[in-house]
Amino acid sequence: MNKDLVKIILVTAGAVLFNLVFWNEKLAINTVLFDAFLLSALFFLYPTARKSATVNWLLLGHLVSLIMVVVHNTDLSKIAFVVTLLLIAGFAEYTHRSAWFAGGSMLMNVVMVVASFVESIKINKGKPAKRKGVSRFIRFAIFPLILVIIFFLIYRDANNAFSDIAGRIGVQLEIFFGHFFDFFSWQRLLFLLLGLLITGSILLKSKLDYFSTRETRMNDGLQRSRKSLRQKRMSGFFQFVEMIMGKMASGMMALKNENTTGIISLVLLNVLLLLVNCVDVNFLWLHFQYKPGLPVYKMVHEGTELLIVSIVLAMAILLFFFKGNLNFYKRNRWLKYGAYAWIIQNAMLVSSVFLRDYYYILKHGLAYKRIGVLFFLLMVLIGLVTVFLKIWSRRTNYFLFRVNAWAGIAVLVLATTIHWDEFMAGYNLKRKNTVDLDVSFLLSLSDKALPLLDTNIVALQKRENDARLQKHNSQPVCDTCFIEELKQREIQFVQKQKELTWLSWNYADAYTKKYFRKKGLITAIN
Amino acid sequence: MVTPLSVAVKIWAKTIAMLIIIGSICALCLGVGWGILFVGLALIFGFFITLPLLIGISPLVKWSSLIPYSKQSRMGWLIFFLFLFYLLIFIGAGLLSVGYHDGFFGDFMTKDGAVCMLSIIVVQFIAVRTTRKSLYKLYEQL
Repeated sequence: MNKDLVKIILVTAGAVLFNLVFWNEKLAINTVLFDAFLLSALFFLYPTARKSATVNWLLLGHLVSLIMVVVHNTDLSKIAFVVTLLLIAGFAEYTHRSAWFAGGSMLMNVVMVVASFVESIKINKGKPAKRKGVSRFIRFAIFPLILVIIFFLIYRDANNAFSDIAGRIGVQLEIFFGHFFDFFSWQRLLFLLLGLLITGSILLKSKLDYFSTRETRMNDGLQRSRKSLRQKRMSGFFQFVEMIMGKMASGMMALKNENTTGIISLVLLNVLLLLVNCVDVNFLWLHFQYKPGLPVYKMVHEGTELLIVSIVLAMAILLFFFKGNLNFYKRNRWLKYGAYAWIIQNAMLVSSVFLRDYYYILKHGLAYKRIGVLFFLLMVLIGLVTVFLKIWSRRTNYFLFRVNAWAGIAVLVLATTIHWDEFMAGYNLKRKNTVDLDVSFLLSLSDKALPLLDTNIVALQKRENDARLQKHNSQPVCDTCFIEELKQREIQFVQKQKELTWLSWNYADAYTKKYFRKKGLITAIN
Repeated sequence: MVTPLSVAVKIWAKTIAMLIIIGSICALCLGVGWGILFVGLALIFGFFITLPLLIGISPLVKWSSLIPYSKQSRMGWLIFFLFLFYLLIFIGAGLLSVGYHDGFFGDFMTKDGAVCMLSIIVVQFIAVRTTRKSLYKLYEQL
């Protein structure tokens, strides 16, 4: 069979399947059905992809994410599922090594999906049928039809008897179309188009292979290149550097001057960071104590964001100094030592930020942002290691971004294996006597955390009431608020479940449902 | 000589004319008194008010001529992106008048919202399809 015809059939079938399994449903077990179809179609259309090691690794990550969509059904697992699926398609259809470039190619697929689809249809069309007659008929009919409609409306309002007859016909037509449109859903038609776009973007390869052509020119190893002053001056950044450094940036000794500037900068930055690290080691690592009266966020949380920015900026500085020929300069030894020291010191700063986060978690329990910081620090640490590797073995920025993207994907897939909402609720509730609990936050967690909250809610409410009594010396305005809120969540959950079919089945919801079915209503306060 | 702007003007004029006709028929169906007034005002001001749309339509026509596809595929691409362009304008206008928190995005999944979006696709399809001769000439030229 013609390959283009197969593509059209597969994309259309995919859109229909998308419409059938996802309409008014959430991403759950239905995702398995749609994904099985998409992957089979993808490997059928691009059979060589199965031999690629990258595709196989991505497939593994994708399957883990898919399982997690069915088991945990978290937003994170859904994001990982989409990301890995797009990357599989990107690597199957184009020649890539970097996830960034594969992502770019998939973006191109999305932009060109309509053109690619029409192209496949066009190639499959046989001899054009005689449509001139139809076209002529339409052209002849448009103007008279408009005139008829306008004059019909005018006569209808001018003549009562005509208006009466027209009204009766109108009512009958209204009834007919009312029934017709009740049966035929416009929203569903639009949803079908969305399915067509999604399936087409994944299965149809765009004719524009801009990103794969660009990537073929990229190398992991840095190569020495000679650039004339005119070529250098083409870049806006060089013009900026020249504005500050003057002739020192463009003369015969430009490389040596760059080396000297780099050494001075790194020495000063290292000294400054050493001071900051010494302070942190003294106060955070060795002698940390929660000061009574002083809020913990003031002590440890404030400034964490700035420290993170400083670490990212530090990596950018190193990338700037080691961007080109300075890597090959014979007397760059001290610059390299300075860079290594800077990397080690930044790794220490990462540890200090980690400690800040840890102390905050000890006092206030887990929350999204606090877990996010931990993941970010992990990524920064990987980033620092790769920057070290880049300088050590003269690698390009392409290598750096490529490796970090893969690390990011691995971390994303691994992060999906934990139901973070349930984990946070479990961790915080287990330490309810030592941690300052934010009950409102706990009540905003996803449905999987509801059973855990339900078993603890009476104790939490009592604790909150007592705390308020002690703090403000007054009776709380509402002494069953949390219980009521939880009850509302349970009702919402049950209602939501009623609207869904087996296609939305997932372990997380089934677990919560089973818990509530077993337990009945939420315990009333005694 | 056909330019992207001249083709864009044709598409824009046809789109607005079609929208005015559809709007007028709807207005006449609802009530004659102000319906006639609406037709008159739409004819006078409709083209004038929507003139800035050409800033968006013209580049889209130009970009459609640059993609490495057949004429029909380029035309399909253009219809789709014109639809997205109008959709963005509708969303923007909706956000300004209704506001995000009033559930403007939810309205798109209602029957009226879906009919509105499908109408934009149909109108764009007719407007571009009836301009295909100029469009093809432009594609051959560039």
